Order: sequence, then C-alpha cells, then structure tokens
Amino acid sequence: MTSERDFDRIARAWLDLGPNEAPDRAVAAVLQAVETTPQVRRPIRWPTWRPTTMTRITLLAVLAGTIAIAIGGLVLVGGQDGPAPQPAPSTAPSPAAPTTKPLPEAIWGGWTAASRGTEIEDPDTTTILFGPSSLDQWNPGFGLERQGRPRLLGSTVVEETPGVLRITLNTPALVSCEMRDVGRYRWSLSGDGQWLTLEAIEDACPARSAIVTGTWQHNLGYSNEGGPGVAVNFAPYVAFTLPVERWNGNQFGETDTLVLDNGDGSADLRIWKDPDGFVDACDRDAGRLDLDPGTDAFLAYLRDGRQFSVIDETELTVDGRRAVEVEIRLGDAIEGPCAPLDGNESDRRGILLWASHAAQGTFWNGVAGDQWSLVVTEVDGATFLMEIVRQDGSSWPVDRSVVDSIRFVTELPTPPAS
Amino acid sequence: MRDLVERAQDGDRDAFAALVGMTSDRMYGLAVRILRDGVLAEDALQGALITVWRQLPTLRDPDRFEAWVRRLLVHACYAEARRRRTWTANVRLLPVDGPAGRDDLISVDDRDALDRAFRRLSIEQRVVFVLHHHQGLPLVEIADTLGIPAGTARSRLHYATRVLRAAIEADAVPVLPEGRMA
Repeated sequence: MTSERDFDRIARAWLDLGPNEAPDRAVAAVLQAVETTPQVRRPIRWPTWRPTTMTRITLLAVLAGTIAIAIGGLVLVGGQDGPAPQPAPSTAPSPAAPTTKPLPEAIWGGWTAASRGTEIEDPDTTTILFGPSSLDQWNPGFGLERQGRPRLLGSTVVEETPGVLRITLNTPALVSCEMRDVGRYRWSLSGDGQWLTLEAIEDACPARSAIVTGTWQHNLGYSNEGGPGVAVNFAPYVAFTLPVERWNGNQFGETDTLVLDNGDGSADLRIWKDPDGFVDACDRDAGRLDLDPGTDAFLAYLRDGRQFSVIDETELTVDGRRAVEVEIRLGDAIEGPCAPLDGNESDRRGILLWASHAAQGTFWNGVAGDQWSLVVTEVDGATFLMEIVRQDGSSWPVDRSVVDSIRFVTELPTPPAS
Repeated sequence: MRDLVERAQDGDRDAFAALVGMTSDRMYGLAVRILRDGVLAEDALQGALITVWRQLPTLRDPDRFEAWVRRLLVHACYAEARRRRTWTANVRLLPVDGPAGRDDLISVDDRDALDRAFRRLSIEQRVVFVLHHHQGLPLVEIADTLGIPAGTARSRLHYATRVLRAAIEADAVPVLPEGRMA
C-alpha cells in the first residue's frame, strides 16, 4: 500500500525526471519567426454584459461555440501553409496512417440555406457548422446553429470514403433521433467553394436528414478560407468575397455585428448595422446616443464627438449606393484618464466609440492615437458601418477589393443548377 | 517583468526575446511532461510562443503574463495531442537523462509503471496532474488557468492520481471513464 505522502513524493520525483531546458533551436526558431510576424491590434471590442434574455445555457453554448471556432482556427492555421511565418518544423517520426479520414478542410466552417421549416430551425435561414464541435473538441464535428439558442444535432463526422461523410449523433436524443444515430451523406463543392451540396444516402435520424439534405451557401460569419459567401448576421444579408486565406470568425452570437480577422492578424473585417453612439466618450454610464440612421447622421457623430478627429473623407459607392470612406483618429481632444480600456477598471486609457444596438451586449473602445479607416453607407434606411482594412506597414487602409465585392441582398441567392 | 511585457506589447522584439529567455525553459519543462515527448513539446512550445507574440497586445494585465503564457502553452499541448492523437501509441519515452532528475527517490519499476499509466490518461487529466504536482499550482489556480470549474479540475486530478497510484501498486489498473468517477 502506498500512503498519500509516499505517492506525492514518488509522483514529484518522477515528474522531476527529464529535461528542464528548452532546446536552443526551438527558441531560435521562435525568435526568427516573430521577426516577420505581426502582432494583432489591440482588441477594441469587449463584451461587458449579456442580454438579460440570455439564459445560462445559451451563454454557455455561445461561449462553447466561440471556443470551438477559436480552436478550429488554431488547428487550421497550424495545419496549413499560409502567409503567417511558421517556426522550423521538428523532425517528428512518421505517423501511423489514421483509420478514418478527418473531415475535409474544404467544408469546415458555416453553411447557410433558407430554412427548411422544421420546428428546430430558425425561421428564415438555417446554418450548419462543420468543424471542431463544442461537444467534443477533439473530434471534427457537425451541428445545427441557432441564433441565440443552443446548438442542436451535435455530431461527430468523418469522411468515410472519398466524397461520403459519416455523421454520428453524439448529443442526447432529440425528436425522432437517438444517440449514435448514423447518417451518410454524399458531398460536393462548387468550383469556387461557395456552394456545398449534401445528398443523403441514409440517415437513422430523420430530423437531421430533413435539414441537412440540399445545397448550402458558404457563410462567411464563421472561420473560413476566404472566397465568396454571405453573412446572415444582418437584414439585409451581406454577400461579399474575401481574399483566399484563413479568416477567423469571432461571433458572440450577436445580430447586426460581424467580426473577422485573417489568420496572421494583418486584416480585419468588421461590420455593424445601426450602431449606437455614446453621450460621453469617457463615461459609459452617461448612456448611449440613439443615432439617426444613415450615412450623414453617423458622419455627424464622428465629426462632433470629442473622441474623434476626422482626418479625411472620400466619397465612393458600395453596391451602387453612396458611401463615404472616413479616416478618424482617437483622443486628440481628450486629456488624462478616460474610460476603462477593454473593461479593465484599473486602466483608464479607454475611449468609447460605438456599441451594437441590437445586441446591447458589447461596446467598442480604443486608445488615444489609434487611427481607423471606416466606410459608412445606408441601406434601406439603416446605417452600415464597416471597418474592412488590411495592414500596410503601420497603417491600416481600407481593403477596397473586399468593399467593392459587397452586395446587400434580401434573399439568399439561388444555388446554381447542378 | 512587467516593463518587458509592456514593451513587448508595443512591438519591442528585444523585450519579447528577453521574456522568451525568462520563460521558455519552464514552459518547455511543462510541455514535455504533459506530452511525454520532446518533439511534440518543442512544437507546442514554438506554437505557443508565437501565439504569445501575436496576441500580446490583447493581454490586459501584464502582471498575469506568466499565467497567460501557461494557458496558451496548455492549449498548444492540447492541439499537439489532438493533431498526433492517431499515433500516440508510438510516442517515444521521455528522456530520463535530464539534469534535474531525482532518480534516487524513485525506483526503476515505479518509473516504468508511472510512464505506462500516464499515457493512459487523457491529455486533460495529464495537464491537471502536471500543473499540480510539478508546477505546484493549487487546484483553484489550475482551474483558472484552464478556464474550467474547480470541481472539474479536482475530478481530473482525482482520477489521474487514482490511476497512477494504482499503477505503482499493481500493473493491472482498470481504467474508468472520467465521467464515472465520484
């Protein structure tokens, strides 16, 4: 018999065995890699409170989804050749062949179609997600996304044979489905990667089959590899094309906000619909400004707010609509401590910018000296504020190629004929 | 260290190099004990440190730098384990010729038994065990580092301890799913 004290002593002695110095080559590879690796920009978005209607389960689901997406991003970034510099690879032993093929990376991410009308879907659109599952982060997963509600139909998924997915339900029984119900689907992707067609071969879970079967459009609100697609965070929907590279979705389950950044942190895409302003740039308790909709009203907020200095304005069109590209600098007229930065009460360098109106759950802040390049436009009486930028040295100019691709659509495009 | 962190947050690569020098040995030691493989640990360390550099501007409290790095490293270990999980059976033994071994305190039989049993643990259970017994972190701090409830950390430590303790008492250890533990 081993006493508690003996076991602790033996365990510590055992753990003390082994190397305690990082190999020089590993450290050198890191320092070499950071020479060409940009840092991300300071986070300017901080969830400060959650909607009162958000249940604990919903919050957990949202957080779990966020974590899963983040992990998915890390996994994909780590597993692909991309623009981000990588450390020198170690000489690992040859792996044994896996028994099943993992989910093809081409279909990782979110896919959206018009709702099939089942009781478990959202009413207008339905989004399914392929990638690491929040239910089992170690296995590629599948799930039915729902706005502000827990994900359903959580399943593990592998490519059983080329072109055939095996999806196994690993969440509690639902409707007519049982744990471990297996479905097999033939999948195909359009040439531009925008359309995913799933054809049921068999599925023991009829609710899943009723939803999954059909053609889906790439939803760019989730982590993705670029290309054309749509974001359904807004009404109207926003269709656009991203440069082909890794993009990390950073959704917090909000409507009227879309946040993406590319894999190496050198490009951001953020879109807000009808954002609120702040009465006082340094005091959130002073309340929000319910800004009138439209380009001119938001520009007036930027021109009049003491936290902003408008440096430049340029007229352009977005999807045939008048828009203004505006460059602002923060904090020229603010001296001394202002608002908590990123929610940190001990750091009063924060300057309040705007907030999501619909979700009421987040606000955006920055620090003095930050410069933002924004595009503002008006669609059907609503303000669309966009920060779509790509790093160029120390500046972050608007990425016009993405902006020019934007289309505001009230209905999802029709899938191409097969 | 705070000054170095703040400078590195502003993009000072020399300051970051100094931080790497101060933390990389400890972090490598942690990774190699979790993953039980020097190559995987090296990859995890590199991945974590590059993530540290990229994400440094997002660190809100510079005084939490080391805990934050530890957290990123653990996540890198998770990723390495996940990436290589299909051939964990081939993981090489941890080298035992390191400079800090207290070999006189543990028998060869116990060492081999612990090596074998440790590999039967999930990566999450390994992490908690190593953070507690090697890094000396209390369960509350482990839970904070991993972003899990303290009860979950306690459960994982309990399970790992039970398996490893049984291993040095007998070769045959029944392995139960974590969820079935009390």
